[in-house]
Amino acid sequence: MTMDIAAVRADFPILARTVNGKPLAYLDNAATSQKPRQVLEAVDRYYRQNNANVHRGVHTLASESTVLYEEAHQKAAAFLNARSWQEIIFVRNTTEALNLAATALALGHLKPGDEVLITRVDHHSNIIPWFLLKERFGILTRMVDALPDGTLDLEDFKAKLAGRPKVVAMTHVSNVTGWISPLERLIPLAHEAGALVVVDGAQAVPHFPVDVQALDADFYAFSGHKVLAPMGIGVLYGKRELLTRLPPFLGGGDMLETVCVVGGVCSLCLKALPWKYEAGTANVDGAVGLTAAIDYLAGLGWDAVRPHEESLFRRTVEGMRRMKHVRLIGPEDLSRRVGCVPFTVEGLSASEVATALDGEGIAIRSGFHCAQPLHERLGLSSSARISLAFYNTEAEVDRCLAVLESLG
Amino acid sequence: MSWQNYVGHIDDTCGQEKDFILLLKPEKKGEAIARIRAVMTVDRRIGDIMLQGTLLGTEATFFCNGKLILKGLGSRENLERFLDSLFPAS
Repeated sequence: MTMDIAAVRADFPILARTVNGKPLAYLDNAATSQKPRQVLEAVDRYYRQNNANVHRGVHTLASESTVLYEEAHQKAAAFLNARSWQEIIFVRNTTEALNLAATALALGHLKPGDEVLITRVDHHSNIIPWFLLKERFGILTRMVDALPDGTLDLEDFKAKLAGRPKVVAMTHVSNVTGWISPLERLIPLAHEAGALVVVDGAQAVPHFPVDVQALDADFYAFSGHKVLAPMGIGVLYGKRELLTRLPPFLGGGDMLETVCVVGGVCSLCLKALPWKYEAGTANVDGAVGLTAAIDYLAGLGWDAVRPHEESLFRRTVEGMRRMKHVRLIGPEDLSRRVGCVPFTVEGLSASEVATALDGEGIAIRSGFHCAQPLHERLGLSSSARISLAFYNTEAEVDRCLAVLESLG
Repeated sequence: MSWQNYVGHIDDTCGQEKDFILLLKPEKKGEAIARIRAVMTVDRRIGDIMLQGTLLGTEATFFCNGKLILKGLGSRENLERFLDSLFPAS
């Protein structure tokens, strides 16, 4: 199945702009995706026609807004193939989702001295929340090492499972190398060792279909903004039995059935899932945007998106492999990678490379990409990173390669 | 006139290098570039893209689009002292 790339690009207004007098080539998609007009229009339409607070009124706008918000949960549940929309908690982003999972598990599942297994391959968002549990709850962390190519050290993973961690937190796709973790093998091993598994799916959902039931992940987190939706809406999927059993970490409006104060004692009756985890006014416009984003992707179809992205990815890597002054980072086997191409250029810092490309209208990222432990393992303090999306073109990749060639 | 008249935005990079990336104000870009070029010792020129070298003793890379990367200054205070020297108040 092929994709009409010109038609797709016409849906993304920002791709028509220029930067520094050159056509924009947006190759920083792992940081955030651009938004199609269908998402922009859905958010605009929501504010023009439906805006009201959800669950708090009987008037027509409140009902419409509530329906849209609940439909977004259903849409996200179908996107991940969750059993129920009640297993979908809306949060701000992946970071908040992982903090929610960590804190809820600390409050309702873990005991002081229990161990959480984290990995060197992960983004700080799936490392720091677990480190913070030590100060607050006395919960310990151990880190699974990475191999020199930036992939997870599977032998170290198996060895550290012998310590019987209560939770394993790991990424689905590395935000540095684009390496796809073999969760289909790792999650059963973690479960056999008695651990619950929390997965950071931020870099996976923009690139291939995710089935949380097939993976048997206990929690799975992603950000809407990396998959065409607005910033400020994210998802934590959790198995219903866990979400039912664990306590929320935010308290406030819209998460309670009743609050009774008798003799100075407060008695709370929490709402059913997912609302007990969604205290306070919701990001309804973000949820509406997420619905539109998921619909847009479904309209394109993974069968069209995947081959185009794979082709761009191979073109990028193969082009860079020919440059003697460029050092590619990450595993050589491209079949288990998506999206991200990290690299360094001899004699230049990552920020110099990114600034040089910006001068030509090409947007990439530089730094340690919120993955300092992985960069330390790779012997780097920073790297430059090209990250691709389905709306990118061969011409954009070739422009980027031409500038990189000239830096040698 | 001080450096604030010439520099529109300052960003710092992540990573241990902690470089500073300066964006020159468009309306003062010509003047600022002339000052930078006058005092910069160029070690390497990469096409029309960038000049690498030294600026008042500090490792610097100047880009043709008006961005300047300064390395090794370490802190914002050092950066501001450097900019005071580069664009002395008149």
